[in-house]
Amino acid sequence: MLNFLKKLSDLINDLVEIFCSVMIAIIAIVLLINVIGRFIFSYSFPWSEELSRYLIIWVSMLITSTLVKNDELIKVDFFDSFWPTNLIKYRAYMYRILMYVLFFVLIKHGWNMAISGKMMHLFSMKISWFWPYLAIPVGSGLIIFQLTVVTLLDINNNFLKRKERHSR
Amino acid sequence: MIGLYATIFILMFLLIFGAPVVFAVALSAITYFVVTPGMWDMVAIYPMRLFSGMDSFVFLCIPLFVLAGEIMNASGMMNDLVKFCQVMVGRFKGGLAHVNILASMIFGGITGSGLADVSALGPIEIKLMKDDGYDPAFAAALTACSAVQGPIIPPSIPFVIFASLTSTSIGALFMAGAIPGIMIGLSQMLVVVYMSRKAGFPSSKEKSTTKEKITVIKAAFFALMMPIIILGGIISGIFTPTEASAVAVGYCFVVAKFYYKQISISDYKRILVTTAKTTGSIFLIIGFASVIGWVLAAENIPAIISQAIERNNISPYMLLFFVNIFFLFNGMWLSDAAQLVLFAPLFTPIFAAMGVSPIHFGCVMVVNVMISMITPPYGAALYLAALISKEPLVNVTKAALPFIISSIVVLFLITYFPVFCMTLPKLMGLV
Repeated sequence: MLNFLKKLSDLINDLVEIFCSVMIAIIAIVLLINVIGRFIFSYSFPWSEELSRYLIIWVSMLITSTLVKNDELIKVDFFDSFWPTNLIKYRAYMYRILMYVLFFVLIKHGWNMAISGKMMHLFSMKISWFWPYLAIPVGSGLIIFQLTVVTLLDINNNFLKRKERHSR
Repeated sequence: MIGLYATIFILMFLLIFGAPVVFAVALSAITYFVVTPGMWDMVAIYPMRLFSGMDSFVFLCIPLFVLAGEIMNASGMMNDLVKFCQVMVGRFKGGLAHVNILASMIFGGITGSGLADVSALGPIEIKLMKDDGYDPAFAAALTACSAVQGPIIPPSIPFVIFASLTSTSIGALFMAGAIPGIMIGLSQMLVVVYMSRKAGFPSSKEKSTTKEKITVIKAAFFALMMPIIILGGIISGIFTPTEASAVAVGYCFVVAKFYYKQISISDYKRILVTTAKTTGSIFLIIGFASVIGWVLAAENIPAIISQAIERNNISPYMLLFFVNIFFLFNGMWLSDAAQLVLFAPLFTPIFAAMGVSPIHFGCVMVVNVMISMITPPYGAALYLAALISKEPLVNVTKAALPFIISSIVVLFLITYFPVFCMTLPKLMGLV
């Protein structure tokens, strides 16, 4: 089960990286074409600004799940030596519990926000606000998934280490 | 008010406790809704503020400047830039230390991100300095400290954030940052001169001939043209900062593809992923910090501060002093983006009402929050430089102290002599 989850987590991580890379490339290309278009043809795409703004929010929400998975978020570890060792050992679990609460709130209320956005439409792109708003619950869901896998793997590793120590 | 106190307490606790900075900001923001009686019913504001905090066209230049820097880095342009600096200042005593500072000064005119500076130039500069007999911790410290200039010399990501939050002219802010950024570089060069005399730093072993110099200048031409294109375009009004960042990406791509010819498809994938990760970290901090910004406004903090200033008859100069100390203290814990989102909208109107130009205040604030990149315990540039050099953070921090002090001296100079910030914007008719 854990192996399956790990594989799924890797797969999702790779997919998210690909999606985010493509979205960043689209933003750069669209904005560049817009500048060139404005100078040469005196024409720019009216939807380019909206598309870029919302794609970058999608990128930010999605890529955070990979930052969580790969433990790439910046933290202040300067005070680690001042805290009791046992507390440091369980620190990650403690703030992960808080993060679960936070991201469940974001899933629930982000989803409600997206649903209420269905009634309104973006000015230039003519699509409903549902799609930009959806970035919040989807990104939060992925963060919770990666957080769960990381936590389960941590627990498993700690369990194996303890077992090894006992067998010695 | 209890909710606000709880928010601040949780933020400080989580940061000291070693939680990731972005989640410390996020969790402290939601604490307000949990603790304040009756606010949980309004928690739907939370995702709304998170979304609107990130939703800005101007912010789009952040990923694009990062992307341009990453392409430059992978293309090999950085090597030419360092060689150019070696030709310019390498012959002096402590030559490579001066090269390190000058390269950051020029690179600052290209990407607008301090950490991009450390990650792009760091590996080259630290290796060169180590090979030349410099203490590796000193090399790492100087690489981190010289990167402070990067986001102050235009183009600048923190200036973009400040301008967007306070509706101030980006062009004027960019110009306001040019002289203070160069002053920080020069102050660091003065420290190097002093240390060279005391510690006997080496100068470049070989002197280059005129022919070699011309070759190096030619090779660095494309890198040197970047700031001219970006700034020229923005100041002349040809394009907006966001469009300038897109042009920068296009320019770097063309130069990398047809001149340097070093980047493969897999390199581009890595570049785009790195850009997405850097951008995600910045945007999420901006988004969550804007929830705390909303909390400050909901608790009427700007009015409370204004009343306290009036009651105690505090002069603008005195307030600037206190605010500088406050930002420097916060910089030990919070990232530059978080500080800007939290405090730029709060203090800019207060200072404007006291007769301090938002451009001057913006410049002071950005210089201040950039110094936080090198102040422990949360000195992101120090962390990165220590990681690259494989030196203990404590040694790097100790070696950085003289440069931190020189940067703080410049900060107070520009605070009390607005002429350093305001001359260029005035000369160009931007204010």
